[in-house]
Amino acid sequence: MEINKTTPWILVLVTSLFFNACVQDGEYAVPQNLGAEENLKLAGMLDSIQNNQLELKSIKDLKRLCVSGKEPVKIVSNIVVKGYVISSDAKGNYFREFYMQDAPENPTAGIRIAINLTNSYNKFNVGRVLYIRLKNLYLGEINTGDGVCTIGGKVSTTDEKEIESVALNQMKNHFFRSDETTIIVPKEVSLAGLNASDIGTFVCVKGLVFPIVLEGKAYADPTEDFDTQRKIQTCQSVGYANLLLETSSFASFANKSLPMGGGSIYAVVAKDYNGHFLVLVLNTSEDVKMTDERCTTRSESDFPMTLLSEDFETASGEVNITDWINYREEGTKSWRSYSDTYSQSKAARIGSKNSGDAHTSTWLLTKGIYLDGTAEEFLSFETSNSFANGSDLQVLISTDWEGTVATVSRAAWNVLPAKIVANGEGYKNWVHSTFVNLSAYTGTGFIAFRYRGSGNVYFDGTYELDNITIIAK
Amino acid sequence: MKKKTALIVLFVACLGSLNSQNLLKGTVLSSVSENPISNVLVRIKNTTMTTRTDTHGRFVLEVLKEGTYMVEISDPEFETQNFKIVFSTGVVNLGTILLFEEYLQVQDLSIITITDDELNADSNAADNISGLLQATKDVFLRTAAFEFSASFFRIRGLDSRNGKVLMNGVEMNKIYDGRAQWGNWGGLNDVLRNQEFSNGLAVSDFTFGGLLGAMNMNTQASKQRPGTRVSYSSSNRSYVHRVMVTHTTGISKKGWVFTFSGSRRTGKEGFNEATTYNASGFFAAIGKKINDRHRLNFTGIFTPNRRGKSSPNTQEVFDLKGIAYNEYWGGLHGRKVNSRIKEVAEPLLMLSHYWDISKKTSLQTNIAYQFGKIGNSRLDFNGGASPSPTYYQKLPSYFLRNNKLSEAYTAQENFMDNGQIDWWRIFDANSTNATAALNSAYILYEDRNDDKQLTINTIYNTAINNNIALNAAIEYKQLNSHNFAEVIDLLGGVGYLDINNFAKTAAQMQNDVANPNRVVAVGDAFKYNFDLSSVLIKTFVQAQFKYHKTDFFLAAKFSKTTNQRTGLYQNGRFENSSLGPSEVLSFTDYGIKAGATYKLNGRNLINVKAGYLTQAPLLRNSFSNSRENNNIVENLQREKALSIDLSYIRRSPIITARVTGYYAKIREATEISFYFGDGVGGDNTAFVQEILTGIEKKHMGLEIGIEAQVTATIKLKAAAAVGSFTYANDPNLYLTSDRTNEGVFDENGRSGDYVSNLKNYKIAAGPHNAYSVGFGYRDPNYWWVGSTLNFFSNTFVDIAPLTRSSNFYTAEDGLTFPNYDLDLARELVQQEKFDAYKVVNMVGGKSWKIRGYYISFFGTINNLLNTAYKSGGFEQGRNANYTQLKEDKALKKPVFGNKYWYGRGTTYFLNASVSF
Repeated sequence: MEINKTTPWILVLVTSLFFNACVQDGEYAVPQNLGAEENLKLAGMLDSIQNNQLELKSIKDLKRLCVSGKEPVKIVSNIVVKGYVISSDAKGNYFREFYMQDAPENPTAGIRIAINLTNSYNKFNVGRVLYIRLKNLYLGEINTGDGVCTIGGKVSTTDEKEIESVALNQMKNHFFRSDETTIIVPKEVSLAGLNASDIGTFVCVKGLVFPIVLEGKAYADPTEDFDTQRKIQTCQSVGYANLLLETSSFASFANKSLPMGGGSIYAVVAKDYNGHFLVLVLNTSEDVKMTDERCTTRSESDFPMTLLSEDFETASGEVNITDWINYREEGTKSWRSYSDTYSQSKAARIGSKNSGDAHTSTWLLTKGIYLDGTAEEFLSFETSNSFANGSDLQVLISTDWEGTVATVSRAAWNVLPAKIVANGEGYKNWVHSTFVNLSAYTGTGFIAFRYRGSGNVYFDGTYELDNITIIAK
Repeated sequence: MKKKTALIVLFVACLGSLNSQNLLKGTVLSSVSENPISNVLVRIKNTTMTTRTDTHGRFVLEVLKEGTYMVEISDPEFETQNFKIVFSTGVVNLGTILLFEEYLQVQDLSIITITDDELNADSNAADNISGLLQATKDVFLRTAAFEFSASFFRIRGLDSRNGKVLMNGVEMNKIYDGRAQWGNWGGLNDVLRNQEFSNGLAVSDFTFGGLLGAMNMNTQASKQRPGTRVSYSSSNRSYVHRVMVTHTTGISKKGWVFTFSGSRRTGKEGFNEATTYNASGFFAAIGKKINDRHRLNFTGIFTPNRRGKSSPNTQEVFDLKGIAYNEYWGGLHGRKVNSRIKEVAEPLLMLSHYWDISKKTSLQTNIAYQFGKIGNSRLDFNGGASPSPTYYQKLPSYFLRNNKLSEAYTAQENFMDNGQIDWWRIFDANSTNATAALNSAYILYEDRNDDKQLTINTIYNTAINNNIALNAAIEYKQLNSHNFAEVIDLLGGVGYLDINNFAKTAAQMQNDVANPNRVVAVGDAFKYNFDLSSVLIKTFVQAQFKYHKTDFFLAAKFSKTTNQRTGLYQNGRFENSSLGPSEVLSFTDYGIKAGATYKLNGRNLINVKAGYLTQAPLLRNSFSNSRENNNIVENLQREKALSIDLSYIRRSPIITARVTGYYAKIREATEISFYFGDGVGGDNTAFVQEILTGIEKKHMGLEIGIEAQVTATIKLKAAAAVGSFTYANDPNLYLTSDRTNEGVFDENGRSGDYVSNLKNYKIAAGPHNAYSVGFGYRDPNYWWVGSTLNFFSNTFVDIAPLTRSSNFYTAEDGLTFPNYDLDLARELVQQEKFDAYKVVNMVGGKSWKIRGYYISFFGTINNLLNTAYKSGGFEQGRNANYTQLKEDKALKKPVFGNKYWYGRGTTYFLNASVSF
């Protein structure tokens, strides 16, 4: 063969260059600009808030737009709500929803967001600062009348009074995450003191035990298809105060046994599906720290002294008890005496339904109670209600009130953690407040029962109050 | 094929003889390059006498008896030539014989879709046998290889594991699934040209073979053609670029000969989106002639390759995204990044010893060792939502099912605009979790099979006389296969929790009880971890008889297989049955076959073959849930196969034809499949293993191939395969799962026994009927064109056996569904038959010689008319009962509709090569 000796080798060399030809088929490096686009969008939105093109609304204000049992509200204005994510579906205890509250510490309100996203914890992680641009989203209830104000994406096709989740496709135009993740400090609450305003906040409840009958039981009952409620109790009171811990059958810890020691629980305050009761919902079973000794409860007989006792049996018409004040701060409705047909007992009652008043705020203020003569004092009372959707009743204490109507608004009033009848409780039933420890207060204390009505003609309900006592030793 | 030319004048009987031996001599050269052609088969018909040309193209054949003979000179790449010779005594020198290239056969096999389809080998539908067939000259088989293979056509409807692939006489089929791993020698086409194929039960000198036959590749350096060959190819099928360089030295004076070959194939994507191709091939063969009787040859092969896989899809998805759509990729770093890559890197080392004990007897002994890894990557997400863009809840059909039209529309828009893996979301999820000190939601991992296989065998061949030859072989094979999952990339996360989220209790969630709640990082094994070991001893003997009117043969094989699983993890769902060695599975198999050819005359032959063989169950089908436990398939049986065929063969100067009728029956076969089943025992959903045992299959049909040399330059050919491949009984079925005491599953996660009413259902084996007509034109000026029109019909979907069992009509309470309508049910379980279709292919090329360089160009265009056709598909196991299937099928767009593979649209392949 007469061939040029070098030509073939040039050919071989040239072709061998192809051997280095690279196919990038295994490069999974984290993109440098991960999150950049989202940050840019958020910055734009924050600018718009600064320029008043968008209005930043607090969760509390936003929730005022919710009316339980009615058609969802479509948000048509340019409002934005900011929150701190507090729930996590990492363990499967939440399904296509999460909660956020208005501050990382000492929140005053929280809200539920229904979203068509599973494993949302890896996007909306606990502590994440989140802005939701609400225009064209909905506020309402997932199960009509459940009393949990929720942000959703549309009105249900099957029930016009219910909302459905925010769809994945809606998310990118409405949800803006800050790259900031804060530490959520749980708000310390007493079990009995939880109420509807705590829904959607992350709380810590101390001094808890599971009832002894639950020994050997798991978080979720294996025969339940969806949620199981387990009773939790506290000994910080006289007798037991109860609340429910709700766990989904799909939670990864559903089959884990309940701890039988005493201790605390960190959880989100929510409601059961029907909205009948407040429940606590766990992010993880690790938030149940109940390895201490079980606490023991005390009985009423340990407290022989009675500092206050009022059963309203002698009252009639507008409640008028010596040294008490029945004070209409706003509106025309006062506390009135009435006779309860079911309990065959007289009690105090208030309701602003059909009053025509724009606002109702009426106080029932007790006489002063001297708290320094005894070591420990416990307040208790009973409440009942009828259709109390739009109104609420609070029990408060002040130790600096001067005892006159004119000075009510100037005094410092603390809300007491008493259990007050929840909307959804049967109207015949009376709910015991649990024993509220007043030992922390000194001097002369005044107890106040404040009723507030929203002014909504259809919704303001009625509360009944009876058997107020303060026992002490 | 035969071409008698004026070359016959070369047939000159040389008279002067010095000894009493009759010798036939000659030199074979290529007509174009005038280079010598080595390894050309020289055969004296009706005898066992054969030889091959050496590297100088020379051959010498000793003829024992005087008489008149037909000599056939053949090579797969050249046209066969025949000479009539008369021996009295002495030497007959045929002088220089020029062979013409078989132009329709210079298309190298890379244009066949072998390695593409084998990527999807985990699915039944994609199984290709074309790689077997490249060495044959049979018109039908070549048509099957070149024209039918892109349609997943299967010869006789049989799985490719019925064809044995040998390298230097060592069987290369994987013990696990019985199939050859073609990727292990991909890109080395230049050095793997020396192949012999035995079709069906026909004799092979090396092995008993399977029902489809056996193909042996000879890699000896001394059998390669000396010189250098460089080629470049470009295509849009799988790889985009390919370069190959091969060099073979001549035999040195000391008896050394070397062959080296290297290749590189690359591509960002083939016909399907993001099917990356990243493959290299290295080959070295070193031959040493020790003396006239002993030769040694070492072969080393390493072909690391990485290929992006593509997904089967439902019709809904194809309608929205087109037939090239692939759900496995997503955009990242400005590229299409595929999450499912198959990587094969299994180096093979082989030492062969060739011993010519006498002129009539040879003994070949091999020792081969293969090791390395096979990895199939994918995403895992025990802390995240499904990343699949075609997850049923993301598609319009899901919303349409619930009558949510606007959502369906949005889903459709969204799927059409995006519809790929969202890598950004994955990274965001992991970095969000990392910030919160949580484990990764997603990881990329691969399912690994790390095999170590040692084979030692000896093959004995002897010619007892001119008419009788004897072959025998014995082989010992030992496999250790380490199977596990390994983390490839944490995708921006810090660690991944090795648990199974679907289990009920924390203890059951553990994949490795010894290391509970382990957090794994890159390079760690997790999920499952076990060894499969197998020892195989087999022998075979064969006698061949060749006479003037009749040829016949008899062969028998005997083998012993021992299989075992050893669990390396104690699995939390199977604490007592997962760790340590399983029961030992031992099987003894045998096989016998025989065949005869009766020559009516030189041009008309009748051939008949029959065989019966047993086959130990494959490793794959022996352990019902090998990733999690040691459980063995209950009542595991050897598979039994009976096969008979009858052929008429005509060989005239103008027409070559073969017509074969065949019948094969397979009994007691076992199959395991895995899927996510809805409606397993009423309303439950579970990941299940479905074990089908005692399956009987019937394969029968006709194969026809005709080729006519109409003029010196024009050739017409036609081929047809008409088959019927059906299930022949109602096999037994049971399910296993890691769900216990739930739905149909008892405390051991086993369902009750079902019978699957499969009888007369069609086997999903590509088109049962395939037809091809075509022509070829070869111009005397060394250019040529050809074209074929192919027609395919009777392709069936792979059916879900559970849907054909009593589970189908049984509600959770064990009674028949109250609304069960027999007529409707019958309609629901009807097997889908795909539309028939036509495909036109074209091929053409030119070659010439310039100053010692032989240059060749050729190109092919497949599916010229861009026909869209379904080449395969399967029913999803999710609608396992009447209620669910009825609901789903009632929809315009079913949510869990059948999944399909589409054939490629129009594709090209271009090749240029230079040799010198």
